[in-house]
Amino acid sequence: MAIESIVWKEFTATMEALLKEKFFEISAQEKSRVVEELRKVVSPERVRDEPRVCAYYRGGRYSVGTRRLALRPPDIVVYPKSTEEVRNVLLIASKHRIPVVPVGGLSIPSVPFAGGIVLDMMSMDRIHKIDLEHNYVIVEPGVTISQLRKILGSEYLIAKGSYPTSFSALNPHACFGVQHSFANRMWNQVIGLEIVMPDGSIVYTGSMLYGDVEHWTEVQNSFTLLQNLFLPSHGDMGVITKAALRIWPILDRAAIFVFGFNDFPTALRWSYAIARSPTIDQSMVYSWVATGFYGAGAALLLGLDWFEARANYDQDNPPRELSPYPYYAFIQTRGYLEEVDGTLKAAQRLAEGFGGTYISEDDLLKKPLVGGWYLWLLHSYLAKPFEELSRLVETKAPPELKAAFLKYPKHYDTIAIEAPVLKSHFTGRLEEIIRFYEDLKKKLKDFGWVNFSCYTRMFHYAQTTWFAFWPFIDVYSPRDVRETLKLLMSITKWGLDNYKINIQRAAFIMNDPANPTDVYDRAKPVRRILRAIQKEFDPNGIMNPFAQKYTLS
Amino acid sequence: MIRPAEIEGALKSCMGCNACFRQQLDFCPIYEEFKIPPYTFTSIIFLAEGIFDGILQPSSELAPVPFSCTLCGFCATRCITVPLHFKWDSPAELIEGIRSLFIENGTVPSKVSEVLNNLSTFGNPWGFSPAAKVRWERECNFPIPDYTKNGNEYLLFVGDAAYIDESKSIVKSLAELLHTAGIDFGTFKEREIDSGDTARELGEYGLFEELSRKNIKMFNEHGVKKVITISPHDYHTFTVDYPQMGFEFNEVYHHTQLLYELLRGGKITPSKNIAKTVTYHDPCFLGRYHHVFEQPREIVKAIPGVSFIEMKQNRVESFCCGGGGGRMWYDVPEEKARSRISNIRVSHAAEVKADVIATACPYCKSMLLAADNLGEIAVKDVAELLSESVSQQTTQ
Repeated sequence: MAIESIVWKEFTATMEALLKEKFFEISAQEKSRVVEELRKVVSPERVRDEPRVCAYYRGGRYSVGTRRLALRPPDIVVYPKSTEEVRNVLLIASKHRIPVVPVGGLSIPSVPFAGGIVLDMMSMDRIHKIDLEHNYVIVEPGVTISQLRKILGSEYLIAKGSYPTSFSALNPHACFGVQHSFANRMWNQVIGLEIVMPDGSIVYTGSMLYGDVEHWTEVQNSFTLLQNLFLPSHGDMGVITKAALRIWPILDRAAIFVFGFNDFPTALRWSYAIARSPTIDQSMVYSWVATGFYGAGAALLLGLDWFEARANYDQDNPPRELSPYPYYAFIQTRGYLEEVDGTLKAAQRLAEGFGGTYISEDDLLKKPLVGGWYLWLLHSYLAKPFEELSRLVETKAPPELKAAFLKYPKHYDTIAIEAPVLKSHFTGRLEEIIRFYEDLKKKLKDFGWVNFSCYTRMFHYAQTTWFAFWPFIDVYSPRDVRETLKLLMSITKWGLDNYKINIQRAAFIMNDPANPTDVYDRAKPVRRILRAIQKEFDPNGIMNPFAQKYTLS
Repeated sequence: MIRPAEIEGALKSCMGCNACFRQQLDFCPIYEEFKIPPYTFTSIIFLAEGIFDGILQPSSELAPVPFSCTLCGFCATRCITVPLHFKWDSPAELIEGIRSLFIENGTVPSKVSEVLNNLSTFGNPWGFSPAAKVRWERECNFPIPDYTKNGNEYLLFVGDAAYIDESKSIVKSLAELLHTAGIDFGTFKEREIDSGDTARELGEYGLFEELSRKNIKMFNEHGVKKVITISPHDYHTFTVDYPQMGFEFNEVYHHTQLLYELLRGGKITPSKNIAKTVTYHDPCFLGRYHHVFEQPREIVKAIPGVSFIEMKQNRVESFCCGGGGGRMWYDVPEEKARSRISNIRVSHAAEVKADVIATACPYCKSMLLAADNLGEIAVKDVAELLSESVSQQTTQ
């Protein structure tokens, strides 16, 4: 069956099923009783049932689609402050058989779909422990990336990737549940959890092997992957109230080195080759056009009318006054000084072989478009403080970059998530990706607004390379969105049929709510285990029934 | 001004990442005030989206959320969603548009309704009679020229500052300084009506148009080319909205801009020693909206004896006083505040041990003066401080 038919059929079926479903309902009298009970265990101002408060939790906040799917807002919103409060709320909810949906933190993808109780986990925002010796932190779900960064300073790498720093620090590591968008998927850096189950039990994952080490440690126990029953949000089996996150020391130096290439395949091959070095966290290849892709992109800082002008740019032939090369490859590295220096030397040696050119910081900053993006990279990937960037701009940047940088200085304090565009990811072998890219470019020669990038990531030394093509669309135009969606689907099918590329996920804005591919992926035995857990710990089925329905049934 | 059709398109640009209020500093003033997400920029966007999707209806129950926003624009400095930021320098316009949906539906908080009625009936938000507009003149020891009779070089648009005690002294100080510097200025006296800024900020576009047309008619009739404003809100309206209505002044000055010019040109020389530690609070509509950061500071620094100190949040990062966007009159009685916005700002001044908070907006002055934790800290407009230092010179 054609992939687009599968996607649309599933999406439509989900919608129809939802509309037929008889969802939870609560009488005004019972609601008032429940609110009263909740206010005895959580302070009154943190139990709210006014429509103006509940309306905010209507559907998932992250995806436009999930907002539209929601049938009605929750009936009650609770802002818990502790594990004990979460436990008490769950016991009350279980007694009254009221569905509970935790939102925020690990559960941002959850969708308060049709009434019930919402637990806003962002109200639990304490950092319980920072263990620099063993490189982990223990945080509550409401601790944001910016909060953690502020405390850890620039010595440690924490959540990396395309996240606004306002997100829960846990999100980048575990935001790949039923409702997740693939854009948010990251490496799993969670090493232990505290989970409150609907029957009031508190589950701790991790190891108890050593008396002098807390359970958070990831040393194997009898059920190694217990945490993964909860992390990928297989129906929010329980409410995660604490998590231990791995943090990464920067050592002597962290750096981003930039190389210019005249074509995409060469840049990608070089990037793939250098990423074999264990000193590389990740390498990235971007078309020059994509420098404006992210919200804080240099192109926008510099006032290029991105959405208007996209069709006029040829990604293989940039105006040289804006960008000296059509493609840029970046390597992100860290280590002892000698290792970082050695990495640069190795990267330069390989670049010579592949036909790439190392671009020094001074040269980068001479070109505002590239320089602007470089500054963004420094901040978002290496967490360079804004003050440091300001000094760099002061000393090295030309007036136009300086002016642009100072105009919206604090943009650099957030890591931008992708602008609302559609995108698709293909994971697979390098040469297949290159072939796919070359054919796709021919196929899309009339679509100047699709550009390409590729990431090779080395965290955990498990090298993966994925390819993304990003069509820039007018988000104000439903027609644009629809047409692009169709195009992406046909490309997906084409890629699947002809290139044997493993399509890991095609995350479209419009089908994100039900995320059917995720449901298909689940193995039946896993569902059996989850059902057993649910029966034992959640006999009244209060935990996120929507997700359970579509994952456990 | 943004129209409903544009609002719907703009809403989609918000990704709900909450970068606009979940960061390290005291950010979104209404989030700091109420400490729950429904009082944030993203939630207002979300609410409007529900209205456009037909899931929610504008109602009195929902109204406190959009009307709680101070339009301070801090969120725009953190907004990572390109189209939103690209189209508008500040999300204020969007919030105003969302408010207009409630206005059209007749579901606004009663206090807001009262303010709009006053503007419509009396030409000012308080409901003062026109005569109250010139009471400040009694305290001046020189006559204030009537622009309509003299056709002076500058029109001093006194705005709302003329009505209430806390800000009358700003008008008086400014008039004295202009007089000292030999500036040829006049006012519209009792005939001056509100610029329309409050109506626009509250989303009452019809009333804004009515007020602005009346003003534009008067400006045309009397050939007004140069105007000095006291309120940054009037300054914003004259520089951003009036051109859209087809009227442009040759020169629009916020009073601190003109005072700075006069100071630089040697027409005003502060001489009295004011041995105080002074900090400066950036009014949102002057600083974040129009990037007027340095002139007020330079004026304060030019006063002999003043030890100038910055608060931790200043310039683009300045924290709101709580009085913008109509909040000067509407304190959201529907929601229990965890802490007052003005208290938070005063605590910033207390942290740096300031004796005086200088500011450049009558609303800011009023709001900061109303803070519970002000203690011994004085709140003064830059014009008042400068006037104190200049006036001794004139008497010496």
